[in-house]
Amino acid sequence: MHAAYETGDCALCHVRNDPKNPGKPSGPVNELCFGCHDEVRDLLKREVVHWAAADACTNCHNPHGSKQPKLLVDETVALCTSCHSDVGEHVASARVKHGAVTTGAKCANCHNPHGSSVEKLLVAYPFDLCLGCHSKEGMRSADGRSLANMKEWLAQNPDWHAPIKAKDCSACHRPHGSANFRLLVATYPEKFYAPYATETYRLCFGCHNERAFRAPETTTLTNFRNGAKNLHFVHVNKEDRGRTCRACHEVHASKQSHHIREGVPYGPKGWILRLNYVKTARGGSCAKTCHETRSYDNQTVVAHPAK
Amino acid sequence: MHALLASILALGALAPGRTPAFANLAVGDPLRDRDLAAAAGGKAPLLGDARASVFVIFRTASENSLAALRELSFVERDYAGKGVRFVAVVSDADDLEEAKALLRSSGAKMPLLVDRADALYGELGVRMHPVVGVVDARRRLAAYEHFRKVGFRRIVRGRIQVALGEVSAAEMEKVLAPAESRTGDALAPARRQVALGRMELARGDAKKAEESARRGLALAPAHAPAHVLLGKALARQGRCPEARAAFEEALRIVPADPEAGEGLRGCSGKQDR
Repeated sequence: MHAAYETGDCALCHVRNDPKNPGKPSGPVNELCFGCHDEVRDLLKREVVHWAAADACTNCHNPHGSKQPKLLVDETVALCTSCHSDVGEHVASARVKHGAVTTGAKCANCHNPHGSSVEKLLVAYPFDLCLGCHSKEGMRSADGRSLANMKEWLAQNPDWHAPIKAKDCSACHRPHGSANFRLLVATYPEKFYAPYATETYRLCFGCHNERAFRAPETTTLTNFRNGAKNLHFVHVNKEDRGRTCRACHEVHASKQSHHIREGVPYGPKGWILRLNYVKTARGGSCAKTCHETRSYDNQTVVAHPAK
Repeated sequence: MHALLASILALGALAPGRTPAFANLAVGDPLRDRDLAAAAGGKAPLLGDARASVFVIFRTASENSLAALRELSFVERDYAGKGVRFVAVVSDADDLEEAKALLRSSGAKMPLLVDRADALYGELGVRMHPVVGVVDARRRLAAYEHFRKVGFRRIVRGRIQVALGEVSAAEMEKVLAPAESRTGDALAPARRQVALGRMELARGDAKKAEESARRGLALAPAHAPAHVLLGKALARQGRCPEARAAFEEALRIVPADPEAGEGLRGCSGKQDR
Protein backbone atom coordinates (compact mmCIF):
# COMPACT_ATOMS: atom_id res chain seq x y z
CA MET A 1 0.00 0.00 0.00
CA HIS A 2 1.17 3.51 -0.76
CA ALA A 3 2.40 5.22 2.41
CA ALA A 4 0.39 8.36 1.62
CA TYR A 5 -2.80 6.29 1.15
CA GLU A 6 -2.08 4.38 4.32
CA THR A 7 -2.30 7.56 6.36
CA GLY A 8 -6.02 7.69 5.55
CA ASP A 9 -5.69 11.38 4.85
CA CYS A 10 -7.12 11.59 1.32
CA ALA A 11 -6.48 15.33 1.22
CA LEU A 12 -2.75 14.72 1.03
CA CYS A 13 -3.41 14.17 -2.69
CA HIS A 14 -7.11 14.92 -3.26
CA VAL A 15 -9.23 18.01 -2.91
CA ARG A 16 -11.27 16.55 -0.02
CA ASN A 17 -10.45 14.43 2.99
CA ASP A 18 -13.50 12.27 2.52
CA PRO A 19 -12.77 8.61 1.74
CA LYS A 20 -16.20 8.24 0.17
CA ASN A 21 -15.83 11.28 -2.00
CA PRO A 22 -12.23 12.50 -2.15
CA GLY A 23 -12.75 14.34 -5.42
CA LYS A 24 -10.12 14.96 -8.04
CA PRO A 25 -6.39 15.23 -7.31
CA SER A 26 -5.50 18.54 -5.72
CA GLY A 27 -2.96 19.33 -8.44
CA PRO A 28 -1.25 17.93 -11.51
CA VAL A 29 -0.69 14.23 -10.81
CA ASN A 30 3.05 14.16 -11.40
CA GLU A 31 3.63 17.27 -9.29
CA LEU A 32 1.79 15.59 -6.42
CA CYS A 33 4.02 12.53 -6.74
CA PHE A 34 7.21 14.59 -7.00
CA GLY A 35 6.35 16.17 -3.66
CA CYS A 36 7.77 13.01 -2.12
CA HIS A 37 9.44 11.27 -5.06
CA ASP A 38 11.78 14.11 -5.94
CA GLU A 39 14.35 11.82 -7.56
CA VAL A 40 11.90 11.03 -10.36
CA ARG A 41 11.54 14.72 -11.16
CA ASP A 42 15.34 14.81 -11.63
CA LEU A 43 15.26 11.74 -13.88
CA LEU A 44 12.60 13.33 -16.06
CA LYS A 45 15.03 16.19 -16.73
CA ARG A 46 17.56 13.87 -18.36
CA GLU A 47 18.18 13.69 -22.13
CA VAL A 48 15.99 10.63 -22.66
CA VAL A 49 12.55 10.71 -21.09
CA HIS A 50 9.91 7.99 -21.01
CA TRP A 51 6.75 9.48 -22.45
CA ALA A 52 4.51 7.41 -20.17
CA ALA A 53 6.24 8.75 -17.06
CA ALA A 54 6.27 12.35 -18.22
CA ASP A 55 2.57 12.09 -19.06
CA ALA A 56 1.35 10.69 -15.75
CA CYS A 57 2.90 8.51 -13.07
CA THR A 58 -0.48 6.78 -12.88
CA ASN A 59 0.07 5.30 -16.34
CA CYS A 60 2.21 2.69 -14.62
CA HIS A 61 1.65 3.10 -10.86
CA ASN A 62 -1.46 2.77 -8.74
CA PRO A 63 -1.20 5.56 -6.15
CA HIS A 64 -3.36 3.68 -3.66
CA GLY A 65 -1.90 0.21 -3.62
CA SER A 66 -0.91 -2.80 -5.68
CA LYS A 67 0.07 -6.42 -5.36
CA GLN A 68 3.03 -5.62 -7.61
CA PRO A 69 6.30 -4.13 -6.41
CA LYS A 70 6.72 -0.37 -6.81
CA LEU A 71 2.92 -0.05 -6.86
CA LEU A 72 2.93 -1.05 -10.53
CA VAL A 73 -0.45 -1.57 -12.12
CA ASP A 74 0.67 -4.89 -13.60
CA GLU A 75 3.56 -7.35 -13.55
CA THR A 76 6.63 -5.58 -14.95
CA VAL A 77 7.09 -7.41 -18.27
CA ALA A 78 3.33 -7.44 -18.92
CA LEU A 79 3.13 -3.73 -18.14
CA CYS A 80 6.05 -2.70 -20.35
CA THR A 81 5.04 -4.92 -23.24
CA SER A 82 1.46 -3.68 -23.13
CA CYS A 83 2.89 -0.72 -25.06
CA HIS A 84 6.17 -2.20 -26.29
CA SER A 85 4.42 -5.14 -27.92
CA ASP A 86 7.22 -5.69 -30.45
CA VAL A 87 9.62 -6.35 -27.59
CA GLY A 88 7.06 -8.63 -25.94
CA GLU A 89 6.71 -10.69 -29.08
CA HIS A 90 10.46 -10.83 -29.50
CA VAL A 91 11.01 -11.98 -25.91
CA ALA A 92 8.29 -14.62 -26.19
CA SER A 93 9.45 -16.05 -29.49
CA ALA A 94 13.22 -15.92 -29.00
CA ARG A 95 14.88 -19.33 -29.26
CA VAL A 96 17.67 -18.24 -26.94
CA LYS A 97 16.45 -16.44 -23.82
CA HIS A 98 18.20 -13.89 -21.64
CA GLY A 99 17.64 -14.39 -17.93
CA ALA A 100 17.96 -10.66 -17.25
CA VAL A 101 14.59 -10.05 -18.92
CA THR A 102 12.62 -12.31 -16.63
CA THR A 103 14.45 -12.27 -13.28
CA GLY A 104 15.03 -9.64 -10.60
CA ALA A 105 13.70 -6.26 -11.64
CA LYS A 106 13.11 -7.66 -15.17
CA CYS A 107 12.94 -4.81 -17.73
CA ALA A 108 14.12 -2.43 -15.03
CA ASN A 109 17.34 -4.41 -14.65
CA CYS A 110 18.61 -2.47 -17.65
CA HIS A 111 16.09 0.30 -18.36
CA ASN A 112 15.00 3.17 -16.20
CA PRO A 113 11.32 3.62 -16.98
CA HIS A 114 11.42 7.29 -15.98
CA GLY A 115 14.38 8.87 -17.71
CA SER A 116 18.01 8.35 -18.55
CA SER A 117 21.17 9.88 -19.93
CA VAL A 118 21.52 7.00 -22.39
CA GLU A 119 19.23 6.24 -25.30
CA LYS A 120 16.70 3.43 -25.05
CA LEU A 121 16.30 4.56 -21.42
CA LEU A 122 19.25 2.39 -20.46
CA VAL A 123 20.50 2.86 -16.92
CA ALA A 124 24.05 2.99 -18.32
CA TYR A 125 25.89 2.02 -21.50
CA PRO A 126 25.49 -1.69 -22.31
CA PHE A 127 29.02 -2.66 -21.22
CA ASP A 128 28.48 -1.25 -17.72
CA LEU A 129 25.11 -2.95 -17.46
CA CYS A 130 26.24 -6.32 -18.78
CA LEU A 131 29.25 -6.49 -16.49
CA GLY A 132 26.94 -5.82 -13.58
CA CYS A 133 25.99 -9.50 -13.86
CA HIS A 134 28.65 -11.07 -16.10
CA SER A 135 31.34 -10.54 -13.54
CA LYS A 136 31.17 -13.69 -11.48
CA GLU A 137 32.11 -17.34 -11.75
CA GLY A 138 29.57 -20.07 -12.24
CA MET A 139 27.00 -18.16 -14.26
CA ARG A 140 24.98 -20.25 -16.65
CA SER A 141 22.89 -19.33 -19.65
CA ALA A 142 19.19 -20.12 -19.86
CA ASP A 143 20.10 -23.35 -21.69
CA GLY A 144 22.63 -24.36 -19.04
CA ARG A 145 25.88 -23.37 -20.75
CA SER A 146 28.68 -22.04 -18.60
CA LEU A 147 29.24 -18.31 -19.04
CA ALA A 148 32.61 -16.61 -18.71
CA ASN A 149 33.43 -14.15 -15.98
CA MET A 150 33.73 -11.35 -18.51
CA LYS A 151 35.00 -8.78 -16.05
CA GLU A 152 37.93 -11.00 -15.13
CA TRP A 153 38.60 -11.91 -18.76
CA LEU A 154 38.72 -8.27 -19.81
CA ALA A 155 40.95 -7.39 -16.88
CA GLN A 156 43.43 -10.06 -17.95
CA ASN A 157 43.34 -9.33 -21.67
CA PRO A 158 44.12 -5.74 -22.67
CA ASP A 159 43.45 -5.91 -26.41
CA TRP A 160 39.69 -5.37 -26.52
CA HIS A 161 37.46 -5.86 -29.53
CA ALA A 162 36.25 -2.49 -30.83
CA PRO A 163 32.59 -2.88 -29.74
CA ILE A 164 33.76 -3.59 -26.21
CA LYS A 165 35.93 -0.48 -26.22
CA ALA A 166 32.80 1.35 -27.37
CA LYS A 167 30.83 -0.18 -24.46
CA ASP A 168 28.50 -1.64 -27.06
CA CYS A 169 27.86 -5.28 -26.17
CA SER A 170 24.63 -4.86 -28.13
CA ALA A 171 26.71 -4.67 -31.33
CA CYS A 172 26.95 -8.47 -31.11
CA HIS A 173 24.40 -9.59 -28.50
CA ARG A 174 20.68 -9.10 -28.44
CA PRO A 175 19.66 -8.60 -24.82
CA HIS A 176 15.95 -9.36 -25.26
CA GLY A 177 16.60 -12.78 -26.77
CA SER A 178 17.81 -14.14 -30.07
CA ALA A 179 17.40 -16.84 -32.67
CA ASN A 180 21.18 -17.33 -32.52
CA PHE A 181 23.32 -19.01 -29.88
CA ARG A 182 24.89 -16.76 -27.23
CA LEU A 183 22.18 -14.18 -27.96
CA LEU A 184 24.10 -13.15 -31.07
CA VAL A 185 22.42 -10.54 -33.23
CA ALA A 186 23.11 -12.47 -36.42
CA THR A 187 24.53 -15.73 -37.69
CA TYR A 188 27.95 -16.99 -36.70
CA PRO A 189 29.18 -20.61 -36.94
CA GLU A 190 28.67 -22.52 -33.70
CA LYS A 191 31.53 -24.94 -34.42
CA PHE A 192 35.27 -24.37 -34.66
CA TYR A 193 35.41 -25.36 -38.35
CA ALA A 194 32.84 -24.33 -40.92
CA PRO A 195 32.74 -24.08 -44.68
CA TYR A 196 32.87 -20.44 -45.68
CA ALA A 197 29.73 -18.64 -46.72
CA THR A 198 28.90 -14.98 -46.27
CA GLU A 199 25.52 -15.95 -44.85
CA THR A 200 27.06 -17.80 -41.90
CA TYR A 201 29.10 -14.76 -40.80
CA ARG A 202 26.40 -12.09 -40.77
CA LEU A 203 27.43 -11.20 -37.22
CA CYS A 204 30.98 -10.25 -38.15
CA PHE A 205 30.03 -8.67 -41.45
CA GLY A 206 27.75 -6.25 -39.67
CA CYS A 207 30.95 -4.26 -39.12
CA HIS A 208 33.70 -5.99 -41.07
CA ASN A 209 33.82 -6.07 -44.84
CA GLU A 210 32.97 -9.46 -46.32
CA ARG A 211 35.08 -8.55 -49.35
CA ALA A 212 38.12 -8.78 -47.10
CA PHE A 213 37.41 -12.51 -46.79
CA ARG A 214 36.32 -13.50 -50.25
CA ALA A 215 38.90 -11.61 -52.34
CA PRO A 216 41.91 -13.91 -52.99
CA GLU A 217 44.09 -10.88 -53.53
CA THR A 218 43.93 -7.33 -52.19
CA THR A 219 46.19 -4.48 -51.24
CA THR A 220 43.53 -2.43 -49.46
CA LEU A 221 40.97 -4.57 -47.62
CA THR A 222 43.22 -6.16 -44.98
CA ASN A 223 46.78 -5.98 -43.75
CA PHE A 224 46.73 -9.73 -43.09
CA ARG A 225 48.28 -10.51 -46.43
CA ASN A 226 51.53 -11.67 -47.85
CA GLY A 227 52.12 -9.09 -50.53
CA ALA A 228 48.71 -9.07 -52.18
CA LYS A 229 47.80 -12.62 -51.15
CA ASN A 230 44.85 -12.30 -48.79
CA LEU A 231 45.54 -14.58 -45.82
CA HIS A 232 42.05 -14.15 -44.39
CA PHE A 233 40.78 -15.66 -47.64
CA VAL A 234 43.31 -18.50 -47.33
CA HIS A 235 42.22 -19.37 -43.78
CA VAL A 236 38.45 -19.21 -44.08
CA ASN A 237 37.82 -20.36 -47.62
CA LYS A 238 38.00 -24.12 -47.18
CA GLU A 239 35.21 -26.49 -48.01
CA ASP A 240 35.53 -28.84 -45.05
CA ARG A 241 37.74 -27.31 -42.36
CA GLY A 242 37.35 -23.60 -42.99
CA ARG A 243 38.72 -21.75 -39.98
CA THR A 244 36.11 -19.70 -38.24
CA CYS A 245 37.12 -16.34 -36.76
CA ARG A 246 37.56 -17.94 -33.34
CA ALA A 247 40.35 -20.17 -34.69
CA CYS A 248 42.68 -17.19 -34.51
CA HIS A 249 40.81 -14.39 -32.72
CA GLU A 250 39.45 -13.98 -29.23
CA VAL A 251 36.18 -12.24 -29.89
CA HIS A 252 36.11 -10.26 -26.66
CA ALA A 253 39.72 -9.55 -25.78
CA SER A 254 43.19 -11.00 -25.99
CA LYS A 255 46.68 -10.40 -24.72
CA GLN A 256 48.04 -10.03 -28.23
CA SER A 257 47.21 -7.35 -30.78
CA HIS A 258 44.57 -7.87 -33.48
CA HIS A 259 42.68 -9.93 -30.86
CA ILE A 260 44.91 -12.89 -31.74
CA ARG A 261 44.37 -15.67 -29.24
CA GLU A 262 47.28 -17.37 -27.52
CA GLY A 263 46.22 -20.87 -28.41
CA VAL A 264 43.35 -23.07 -29.47
CA PRO A 265 41.94 -26.14 -27.72
CA TYR A 266 43.08 -29.28 -29.48
CA GLY A 267 42.08 -32.92 -29.06
CA PRO A 268 39.58 -34.54 -26.71
CA LYS A 269 41.32 -33.26 -23.56
CA GLY A 270 41.39 -29.66 -24.76
CA TRP A 271 45.20 -29.44 -24.86
CA ILE A 272 46.13 -25.91 -25.90
CA LEU A 273 47.92 -25.60 -29.20
CA ARG A 274 49.77 -22.30 -29.05
CA LEU A 275 49.73 -20.01 -32.06
CA ASN A 276 53.05 -18.36 -31.15
CA TYR A 277 51.99 -15.25 -33.01
CA VAL A 278 54.59 -12.53 -33.40
CA LYS A 279 53.62 -9.13 -34.77
CA THR A 280 56.03 -7.17 -36.93
CA ALA A 281 55.78 -3.66 -38.34
CA ARG A 282 54.40 -4.86 -41.65
CA GLY A 283 53.06 -8.28 -40.83
CA GLY A 284 53.82 -11.11 -38.46
CA SER A 285 54.22 -14.84 -38.08
CA CYS A 286 52.67 -17.89 -36.45
CA ALA A 287 55.04 -20.67 -35.46
CA LYS A 288 54.66 -24.42 -34.97
CA THR A 289 50.93 -24.25 -34.72
CA CYS A 290 48.14 -25.47 -37.00
CA HIS A 291 50.86 -25.29 -39.65
CA GLU A 292 54.63 -24.93 -39.73
CA THR A 293 56.10 -21.49 -39.12
CA ARG A 294 54.71 -18.96 -41.58
CA SER A 295 55.54 -15.29 -41.89
CA TYR A 296 53.79 -12.61 -43.85
CA ASP A 297 54.67 -9.12 -44.94
CA ASN A 298 52.01 -6.87 -46.38
CA GLN A 299 54.51 -4.81 -48.36
CA THR A 300 56.75 -7.48 -49.90
CA VAL A 301 56.14 -11.16 -50.39
CA VAL A 302 57.65 -13.65 -47.91
CA ALA A 303 58.58 -16.77 -49.82
CA HIS A 304 57.64 -20.12 -48.27
CA PRO A 305 58.94 -23.49 -49.36
CA ALA A 306 56.43 -25.58 -51.24
CA LYS A 307 54.65 -28.18 -49.10
CA MET B 1 26.61 -0.64 -6.23
CA HIS B 2 29.76 1.13 -5.06
CA ALA B 3 31.68 -2.10 -5.45
CA LEU B 4 30.33 -2.50 -8.97
CA LEU B 5 31.25 1.04 -9.92
CA ALA B 6 34.70 0.61 -8.43
CA SER B 7 35.28 -2.55 -10.42
CA ILE B 8 34.12 -0.89 -13.62
CA LEU B 9 36.46 2.02 -12.97
CA ALA B 10 39.22 -0.49 -12.37
CA LEU B 11 38.42 -2.08 -15.72
CA GLY B 12 38.52 1.35 -17.31
CA ALA B 13 42.03 1.75 -16.01
CA LEU B 14 42.96 -1.55 -17.62
CA ALA B 15 41.42 -0.69 -20.97
CA PRO B 16 43.88 -0.39 -23.84
CA GLY B 17 45.62 2.94 -24.07
CA ARG B 18 45.52 3.27 -27.85
CA THR B 19 42.70 5.51 -29.00
CA PRO B 20 40.53 3.65 -31.49
CA ALA B 21 41.45 4.74 -35.00
CA PHE B 22 41.84 3.60 -38.55
CA ALA B 23 44.50 0.93 -39.05
CA ASN B 24 46.75 3.36 -40.94
CA LEU B 25 45.69 6.74 -39.53
CA ALA B 26 45.66 7.61 -35.85
CA VAL B 27 43.74 10.39 -34.14
CA GLY B 28 45.91 13.52 -34.45
CA ASP B 29 47.47 12.45 -37.75
CA PRO B 30 47.17 14.80 -40.74
CA LEU B 31 44.83 13.74 -43.51
CA ARG B 32 45.45 14.89 -47.06
CA ASP B 33 42.43 16.25 -48.86
CA ARG B 34 41.65 14.77 -52.23
CA ASP B 35 38.93 14.92 -54.84
CA LEU B 36 36.65 11.93 -55.14
CA ALA B 37 34.07 11.17 -57.78
CA ALA B 38 30.70 12.59 -56.77
CA ALA B 39 27.67 10.42 -57.27
CA ALA B 40 25.84 13.51 -58.54
CA GLY B 41 28.51 13.97 -61.23
CA GLY B 42 31.94 15.56 -61.39
CA LYS B 43 34.28 15.57 -58.44
CA ALA B 44 34.14 16.90 -54.90
CA PRO B 45 36.70 17.19 -52.14
CA LEU B 46 36.69 14.75 -49.22
CA LEU B 47 37.33 17.52 -46.68
CA GLY B 48 37.01 20.95 -48.31
CA ASP B 49 37.29 24.21 -46.42
CA ALA B 50 35.24 23.85 -43.30
CA ARG B 51 35.62 24.41 -39.58
CA ALA B 52 35.26 20.65 -39.30
CA SER B 53 34.71 17.89 -41.84
CA VAL B 54 32.81 14.73 -41.11
CA PHE B 55 33.01 11.77 -43.47
CA VAL B 56 31.19 8.50 -43.09
CA ILE B 57 32.33 5.41 -44.94
CA PHE B 58 29.42 3.03 -45.35
CA ARG B 59 28.31 -0.01 -47.33
CA THR B 60 25.13 -0.96 -49.08
CA ALA B 61 23.01 -3.89 -47.88
CA SER B 62 24.02 -3.06 -44.32
CA GLU B 63 21.54 -2.45 -41.52
CA ASN B 64 24.25 -0.75 -39.50
CA SER B 65 25.02 1.61 -42.36
CA LEU B 66 21.40 2.67 -42.66
CA ALA B 67 21.16 3.13 -38.89
CA ALA B 68 24.38 5.17 -38.81
CA LEU B 69 23.29 7.41 -41.68
CA ARG B 70 19.93 7.99 -39.98
CA GLU B 71 21.66 9.04 -36.77
CA LEU B 72 24.05 11.26 -38.69
CA SER B 73 21.17 12.93 -40.50
CA PHE B 74 20.15 14.43 -37.14
CA VAL B 75 23.68 15.65 -36.43
CA GLU B 76 23.86 17.05 -39.95
CA ARG B 77 20.68 19.04 -39.28
CA ASP B 78 22.09 20.32 -35.97
CA TYR B 79 25.08 21.74 -37.81
CA ALA B 80 23.36 23.07 -40.92
CA GLY B 81 24.86 26.44 -41.83
CA LYS B 82 27.48 26.23 -39.09
CA GLY B 83 30.55 25.50 -41.20
CA VAL B 84 30.64 21.75 -40.68
CA ARG B 85 30.87 19.67 -43.84
CA PHE B 86 29.39 16.18 -44.05
CA VAL B 87 30.09 13.68 -46.83
CA ALA B 88 29.20 10.02 -47.26
CA VAL B 89 31.70 7.74 -48.99
CA VAL B 90 31.01 4.37 -50.57
CA SER B 91 33.30 1.99 -52.44
CA ASP B 92 32.85 1.62 -56.18
CA ALA B 93 32.55 -2.10 -55.44
CA ASP B 94 29.11 -1.31 -54.00
CA ASP B 95 26.12 -0.67 -56.23
CA LEU B 96 25.97 3.10 -56.68
CA GLU B 97 22.21 3.28 -57.20
CA GLU B 98 21.70 1.20 -54.07
CA ALA B 99 24.05 3.51 -52.17
CA LYS B 100 22.12 6.56 -53.35
CA ALA B 101 18.82 4.97 -52.30
CA LEU B 102 20.21 4.05 -48.88
CA LEU B 103 21.48 7.57 -48.28
CA ARG B 104 18.18 9.06 -49.44
CA SER B 105 16.12 6.78 -47.22
CA SER B 106 18.23 7.72 -44.19
CA GLY B 107 17.14 11.34 -44.45
CA ALA B 108 20.74 12.55 -44.72
CA LYS B 109 21.34 15.35 -47.21
CA MET B 110 25.13 15.06 -47.43
CA PRO B 111 26.78 14.49 -50.81
CA LEU B 112 27.73 10.96 -51.79
CA LEU B 113 31.32 10.38 -52.94
CA VAL B 114 32.74 7.25 -54.52
CA ASP B 115 35.99 5.65 -53.41
CA ARG B 116 37.42 4.22 -56.61
CA ALA B 117 39.33 0.94 -56.22
CA ASP B 118 39.13 1.35 -52.43
CA ALA B 119 41.97 3.87 -52.57
CA LEU B 120 40.79 5.89 -49.55
CA TYR B 121 39.72 2.71 -47.77
CA GLY B 122 43.20 1.24 -48.16
CA GLU B 123 45.04 4.45 -47.31
CA LEU B 124 43.13 4.88 -44.06
CA GLY B 125 43.00 1.19 -43.25
CA VAL B 126 39.26 0.92 -42.73
CA ARG B 127 38.47 -2.23 -40.76
CA MET B 128 35.11 -1.44 -39.19
CA HIS B 129 32.19 0.21 -40.88
CA PRO B 130 30.12 2.21 -41.01
CA VAL B 131 32.77 4.50 -39.61
CA VAL B 132 32.98 8.23 -39.10
CA GLY B 133 36.07 10.40 -39.27
CA VAL B 134 35.97 13.92 -37.87
CA VAL B 135 38.69 16.20 -39.26
CA ASP B 136 39.44 19.57 -37.73
CA ALA B 137 40.24 22.86 -39.48
CA ARG B 138 43.94 21.97 -39.49
CA ARG B 139 43.02 18.81 -41.39
CA ARG B 140 44.01 16.47 -38.63
CA LEU B 141 41.93 13.47 -37.70
CA ALA B 142 40.18 14.73 -34.58
CA ALA B 143 38.03 11.68 -33.94
CA TYR B 144 37.27 8.20 -35.17
CA GLU B 145 33.94 6.59 -34.38
CA HIS B 146 32.76 3.32 -35.80
CA PHE B 147 29.05 2.72 -35.51
CA ARG B 148 27.66 1.73 -32.15
CA LYS B 149 24.08 0.78 -31.51
CA VAL B 150 23.73 2.88 -28.40
CA GLY B 151 24.81 6.50 -28.15
CA PHE B 152 26.19 6.95 -31.67
CA ARG B 153 24.46 10.26 -32.43
CA ARG B 154 25.32 11.83 -29.13
CA ILE B 155 28.93 10.72 -29.24
CA VAL B 156 29.52 11.87 -32.84
CA ARG B 157 27.91 15.21 -31.97
CA GLY B 158 30.25 15.45 -28.99
CA ARG B 159 33.29 14.63 -31.13
CA ILE B 160 32.37 17.43 -33.53
CA GLN B 161 31.89 19.81 -30.61
CA VAL B 162 35.36 18.94 -29.34
CA ALA B 163 36.86 19.43 -32.82
CA LEU B 164 35.21 22.86 -32.98
CA GLY B 165 36.39 23.75 -29.49
CA GLU B 166 32.81 24.03 -28.26
CA VAL B 167 33.26 21.52 -25.45
CA SER B 168 36.28 20.36 -23.51
CA ALA B 169 37.70 16.86 -23.40
CA ALA B 170 36.46 16.63 -19.81
CA GLU B 171 32.91 17.41 -20.90
CA MET B 172 33.25 14.79 -23.62
CA GLU B 173 34.14 12.24 -20.97
CA LYS B 174 30.72 12.84 -19.42
CA VAL B 175 29.15 11.99 -22.76
CA LEU B 176 31.19 8.80 -23.00
CA ALA B 177 30.50 7.81 -19.39
CA PRO B 178 27.29 9.48 -18.21
CA ALA B 179 26.07 9.13 -14.66
CA GLU B 180 23.97 6.02 -14.08
CA SER B 181 20.23 6.58 -14.19
CA ARG B 182 18.96 4.73 -11.15
CA THR B 183 15.71 5.70 -9.52
CA GLY B 184 16.45 6.76 -6.01
CA ASP B 185 19.66 6.82 -4.07
CA ALA B 186 20.12 5.23 -0.67
CA LEU B 187 18.49 8.20 1.07
CA ALA B 188 15.42 8.37 -1.18
CA PRO B 189 13.12 6.25 1.03
CA ALA B 190 13.96 8.39 4.05
CA ARG B 191 13.45 11.59 2.07
CA ARG B 192 10.01 10.36 1.02
CA GLN B 193 9.01 9.81 4.64
CA VAL B 194 10.19 13.29 5.50
CA ALA B 195 8.26 14.79 2.59
CA LEU B 196 5.12 12.93 3.66
CA GLY B 197 5.62 14.05 7.24
CA ARG B 198 5.99 17.67 6.17
CA MET B 199 2.66 17.47 4.34
CA GLU B 200 1.05 15.92 7.41
CA LEU B 201 2.48 18.64 9.61
CA ALA B 202 1.27 21.30 7.19
CA ARG B 203 -2.19 19.79 7.44
CA GLY B 204 -2.00 20.00 11.24
CA ASP B 205 -1.44 16.34 12.03
CA ALA B 206 1.69 16.48 14.19
CA LYS B 207 1.26 12.95 15.49
CA LYS B 208 1.33 11.46 11.99
CA ALA B 209 4.23 13.73 11.08
CA GLU B 210 6.11 12.38 14.09
CA GLU B 211 5.45 8.81 12.91
CA SER B 212 6.70 9.64 9.41
CA ALA B 213 9.83 11.25 10.85
CA ARG B 214 10.52 8.18 12.96
CA ARG B 215 10.05 5.91 9.93
CA GLY B 216 12.51 8.10 8.06
CA LEU B 217 15.03 7.87 10.89
CA ALA B 218 14.64 4.10 11.01
CA LEU B 219 15.70 4.08 7.35
CA ALA B 220 18.49 6.65 7.72
CA PRO B 221 19.45 7.50 11.31
CA ALA B 222 21.83 10.29 10.22
CA HIS B 223 19.35 12.04 7.91
CA ALA B 224 19.28 15.52 9.40
CA PRO B 225 15.98 16.62 7.77
CA ALA B 226 14.23 13.69 9.51
CA HIS B 227 15.55 14.91 12.89
CA VAL B 228 14.35 18.43 12.07
CA LEU B 229 10.91 17.12 11.12
CA LEU B 230 10.79 15.06 14.30
CA GLY B 231 11.70 18.15 16.32
CA LYS B 232 8.99 20.24 14.64
CA ALA B 233 6.35 17.51 15.08
CA LEU B 234 7.24 17.10 18.76
CA ALA B 235 7.32 20.86 19.36
CA ARG B 236 3.89 21.18 17.76
CA GLN B 237 2.67 18.60 20.29
CA GLY B 238 4.19 20.62 23.11
CA ARG B 239 6.95 18.10 23.81
CA CYS B 240 9.77 20.62 23.84
CA PRO B 241 12.49 18.69 25.74
CA GLU B 242 12.20 15.85 23.20
CA ALA B 243 12.02 18.34 20.34
CA ARG B 244 15.20 20.06 21.57
CA ALA B 245 17.02 16.73 21.53
CA ALA B 246 15.89 16.16 17.96
CA PHE B 247 16.99 19.64 16.82
CA GLU B 248 20.34 19.24 18.62
CA GLU B 249 20.89 15.92 16.87
CA ALA B 250 20.14 17.59 13.50
CA LEU B 251 22.65 20.34 14.33
CA ARG B 252 25.24 17.76 15.35
CA ILE B 253 24.90 16.25 11.85
CA VAL B 254 24.59 19.55 9.96
CA PRO B 255 25.89 22.32 12.27
CA ALA B 256 24.58 25.17 10.10
CA ASP B 257 21.08 23.73 9.52
CA PRO B 258 18.91 26.88 9.72
CA GLU B 259 15.64 25.03 10.35
CA ALA B 260 17.14 23.10 13.24
CA GLY B 261 18.60 26.29 14.68
CA GLU B 262 15.26 28.05 14.42
CA GLY B 263 13.46 25.09 15.95
CA LEU B 264 15.90 24.96 18.82
CA ARG B 265 15.43 28.67 19.52
CA GLY B 266 11.67 28.21 19.42
CA CYS B 267 11.86 25.50 22.06
CA SER B 268 14.43 27.23 24.20
CA GLY B 269 13.43 27.33 27.83
CA LYS B 270 10.09 25.68 27.19
CA GLN B 271 9.00 22.62 29.12
CA ASP B 272 6.50 19.94 28.26
CA ARG B 273 2.92 21.07 28.18
